[in-house]
Order: sequence, then C-alpha cells, then structure tokens
Amino acid sequence: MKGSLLLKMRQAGWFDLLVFFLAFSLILVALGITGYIQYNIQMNNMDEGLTKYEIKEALGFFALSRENFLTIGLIAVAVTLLGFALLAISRATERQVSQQAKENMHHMRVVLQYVVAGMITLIMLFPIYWMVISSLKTSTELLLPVPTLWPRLFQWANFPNVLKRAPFIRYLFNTLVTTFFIMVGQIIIGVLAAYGFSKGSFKGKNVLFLLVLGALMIPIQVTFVPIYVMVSRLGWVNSFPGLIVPNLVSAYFIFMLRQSFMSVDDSYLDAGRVDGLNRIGLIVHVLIPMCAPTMITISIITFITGWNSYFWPKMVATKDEFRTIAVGVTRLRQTFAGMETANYNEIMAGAVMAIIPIVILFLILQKYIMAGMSKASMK
Amino acid sequence: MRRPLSEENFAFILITPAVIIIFSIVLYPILKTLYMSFFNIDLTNPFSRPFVGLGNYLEILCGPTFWNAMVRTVYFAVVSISMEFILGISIALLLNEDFYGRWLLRSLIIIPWAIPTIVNGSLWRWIFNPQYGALNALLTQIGLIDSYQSWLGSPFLALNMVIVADVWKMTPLVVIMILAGLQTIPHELYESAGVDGANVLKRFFHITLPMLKPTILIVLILRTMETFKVFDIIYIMTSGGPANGTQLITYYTYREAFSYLQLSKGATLAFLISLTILGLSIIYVKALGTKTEY
Repeated sequence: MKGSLLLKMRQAGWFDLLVFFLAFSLILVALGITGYIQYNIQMNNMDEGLTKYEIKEALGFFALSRENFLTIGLIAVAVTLLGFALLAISRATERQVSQQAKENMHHMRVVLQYVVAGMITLIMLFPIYWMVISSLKTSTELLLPVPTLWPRLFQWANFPNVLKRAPFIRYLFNTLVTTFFIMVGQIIIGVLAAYGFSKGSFKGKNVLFLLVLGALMIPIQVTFVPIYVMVSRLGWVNSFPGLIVPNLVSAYFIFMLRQSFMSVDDSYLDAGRVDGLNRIGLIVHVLIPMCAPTMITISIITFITGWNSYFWPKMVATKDEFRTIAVGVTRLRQTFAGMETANYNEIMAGAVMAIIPIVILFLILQKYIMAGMSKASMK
Repeated sequence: MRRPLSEENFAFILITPAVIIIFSIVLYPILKTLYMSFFNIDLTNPFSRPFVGLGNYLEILCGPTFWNAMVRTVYFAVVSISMEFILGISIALLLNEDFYGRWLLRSLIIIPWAIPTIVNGSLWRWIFNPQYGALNALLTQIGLIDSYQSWLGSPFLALNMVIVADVWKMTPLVVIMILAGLQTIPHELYESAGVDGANVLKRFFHITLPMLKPTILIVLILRTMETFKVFDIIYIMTSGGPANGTQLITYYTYREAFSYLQLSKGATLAFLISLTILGLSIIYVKALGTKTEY
C-alpha cells in the first residue's frame, strides 16, 4: 500500500507544507551564502597577523556560522525536492483509493492546514504579543537576561506614566484631525481628477497623467527642502494646514480610481444622462456607487498612510500641540536618551496606544479591504 | 442663458486642483532641487553660494559613498521583495483553501501591515536588543546560538535585520494582493486540469503562476518603488549605522541635507534619486502597457 500512503501525503495538504518548507530552506541557503560573502569581505579587510581567536572574534555571526547555514539549508532543499518528487509520482495511484480513504485524507488535510495556519499566525502575531506584554512589565522584569513570556506583575501604571510624560491624547487627536482632512481632500480631489483622466478627453491628457504617475514615485526626502520653504513662507509651520495641505493629493489614489472608472462602461453614463443627470450627478450617482469597493479600499489605504506618516509631521510640527502619534512614539525614546532600554515598557505602551485605533478599524473593515482588493486587481 | 461647458473644458477643470497641487508639491520642488544642485550651498557657511556647475554631480558620482548606498538599496530591494513574495505567495495559497476559521486568520494576518512603520521599527529594535531582547533569548534557549548577538551591531547583519522587520510588515500586503488575484482564477481551469491528469505541481506552475502574473507584476512594481523610498524604518532602527551599514540612498540624502547641512549636495543626491526613479517608472509604464493588452 505504498502508493496510497504517498497519495495520502499529497491530498492531506503536504503540498502547502512543502512550499513552506522550501521557502524556509531557501532562506537558510540565502543566509549561508550571505555568510560566505560577509566572510570574504571581512577577511579581506582584516589586518594580517591576527591569531585564529582574534579572527573569530572579529567575524560577524553569519560569517561564523556560514557552513552550518549552508549545509542545513542545502539538506533541507534536497529533502523538500524529494518530497515534491514523491508527490508528483503519487498521482499514479489516485484512482485506486476508496471513498473511506478519501474521507480520511480530507481529515488529515484539514488538520495539517490548521497546524500550518497556526504556525503562521504565531509567527506573525508574536511581535505584537511581545509589544503588548512588554508594555505591561515592570522595569526590573523587563531587564531580566532571560525574558518572561507572561508578565509576573502587571504594571498598568506604564500607560498613565506615558500620558504624563507626553500628551498622547493630544497626539491622537491631532493624528485623527490631520488624517481625516487628508482623507476627505484626497477623495474629493481624487474623484474629480480620476473622472477627468478616465472619461474626459482634452489635449495633453496622457502627458499630464504621466506626470501624476511620476509624482507617485518621488520620495519626500527629495522634495522636502523646497516644500518646507514654501510652507514656512505661508506661515504654516506648526499648524494643521501645514500638516494637511501638502498631502491633499495622492497620485496612487488617482491612479487606482482612474483604472476603476475606466472599467465602467460608457452606456451606464448615457443611461444616466437620459435620466436627466448632469455631469456632477453622473459622478455622484453612477460612477461612485459602481466603484464603491475600490473607493473604500483606497480610502482605507489613505487613512493608514496618513496615520503612519512620520517624516513630514516630524519636520513640520515641532510643538506638542501639533505633533502626531507616530512622532509621539519616537519622542518617548528621545526623552530618555542614554538609558533607553530602561524604559522600553513605556515606549511599548506608547506604541500600543498608537496602534489600538488602527487595529480596531482594520478588524471591522477587513471584509471591505479584501473585496476592494480583488476588484482592483481584476482591472 | 450661459452656454454649458464643453466636455473638454469640463474634464480639464476637474483635474485642475490635483494638477495645481502636484505641480507645487512635486514639480516645482524638483526644478528647485535641480537648480540648487548646481550651486555650492552649505548652511554651515551661509554667506557664499558659488556656482559649481556639474561639480556636485562629479563629486558624488566619483566617490564611494553614493555607490555603496546604491548597492545597499538594491540589495535591500532584492532580498526583501523576494522574501515577501516567497512567503506571501505561500501564505496566500494556504489562505485560499477552504477551512473553518479562515476569516479569522485573514483578519489577523493583515495587522502587521497596518502598524505604523515607526512602531514597527521600535518594536523590532526591542526584539533585537543585544542584552534583553526576545530574539537572543529565543535562539539561545533552543540552542541555535551560544552567546547573545548584537543583531544591529555589525553593518551587514544590521542591514539584514532591518530587512527582517520590513518583510514582517510588508508580507501581509503581498498576501492580500495575491489572495485577491487567486480569487480571479476560474475554478474550471483546475477541474479540467485535474481531468487531464495534471498534478499539484503542474497545476501551480501552469495555471496558478501564469494567471497571477498581472497581480505579481503590479505588486512587484509598487514594492520596488517603496523600497527605493525606505526611510522611516532605517531612521528608527539603526539611523544608518553601524559604520553606515544600513545607509540606504534616501537616508544618505537626508543625512547630507539635514545633518551635515550640505543643501546642494543633498539636492544633487535628490535629483539623482529622481532620475533613478524616472528610469524605474518608464519600466513601470511599459509593464502596465503590456498588461492592458493582456
């Protein structure tokens, strides 16, 4: 019954597992190769006449364990490939399997899916778990050489302490105001522009569109100095307009929405005209409802981008009254420069406060994000 | 009565606000940056700003710092994007299977992407902490390393550790996009392939991967653009150190302009980045062009 065993493997979801295994073994190989590269670079840079011990001390971690990584990685790749090969031949015996065996396989497959899914969740969520428990530990417990997985003593006071050190509520408020106006502005300006670029026709449309696309790709560090000079001449440093106005247009938004509008057939617009809608009416009553999933998705992405943005708010808001939450989190570290590890519980408490609103928002809107993404990618 | 606007003028009016803002926050600053790059503007010596022509460009292009930063940026982009794709496609394939509780995993997996980069950076800095960090504790407990490592302490290792943090944050985005792409593949394709006797592997390489090509292309391009802009995570995790080991191209620009106050050198770098990105964006538009044909 060798054949049916292999088949069981295959139908029990081994394929997914093998893909994972292959990914991880490739990572190991990559680390090994990295180690060799690092080893060569470091050996070339080293002074001559060092003892073996000194060389070992000077080498980096990956350079030292390059052989281990590469050997384990290569073995893992070989095992995975063998697994794939077994899976491939096992197909020959498929038709001999009874109904009962098929059901068993189905159960095994489900169990395996849960195991793999559980592992992924664990890896993805562990850092967040670590952040939350670190935010609740006492300073003494935080600095144990072997950290505890569950706080021995819950120090909820970390949160009030953070609020005392920095006005986090104010930061949250500022972030909400800024992000809200950026979102509204981007939606209005973006919808209008997307309409112009998709349904309108005028000279130079394509050139202008390319310019907009190009703007999508320029990092803020490139354009920062002239924009900052402009904003400060307008007297907008340390003000909400300074935080909001330079972010009012998102090239990404226009691009995605244009793609979406273009997929709406012109006959819908004609039907709307027959019903007596004017051009603004067509946008509001025909195009926007038809592209609702995309609109929602892009709005969420806009919100996240606004909430997470750091560089511009850091530069333009230098007073607590206008600082945003991302800047606030880094402020916690700077306050205790020199003894930064000692207050990681407070930094993590600040971080937790910074992500709570966005995580809640995400869990509520998750359905729409998925729907919008699949719509958007079909275009 | 006033004549109604022509269709052409109407469209033009609609895009005007967007165009005005884009011109003032992108186009004008870029021209200004270009202008500044031809002078020697040094805020530590504000009273002279001689015209140096292409001098700044020569100085930067002939020196090693720029090229080192460029190589690091490319390394960062290649390694982080390929990791994100290997992991992202695998996870998406799993999540595309039907099993109870899938919705929960789908909601949870998206969270790292929503977390602000600054928080992400602080969090990983804490996990990588040489004395009290979770990573050292975990690896010594399971016996993979003998002694605590300083993960952000040596240049090349630090760069890789920043990549780990970036991969953790950005893989969920790849998962969502690929998952969305997977759902557009008609189920009949797999069924007929099953009748033809194609095995799992063949199905993956002959149906899934080709059908995902447009999605993969878009995600690839977006991620490439983003990695060329990487700044926040470097700033918070390593500040470009140690020994400039994590100084990517945008961070280098920032440092010239804001730490050393060499405005025109920063402007020159900025303009070189814009050129690189322009080159990438031409590839972008070309790729999109082939996609519409598809």
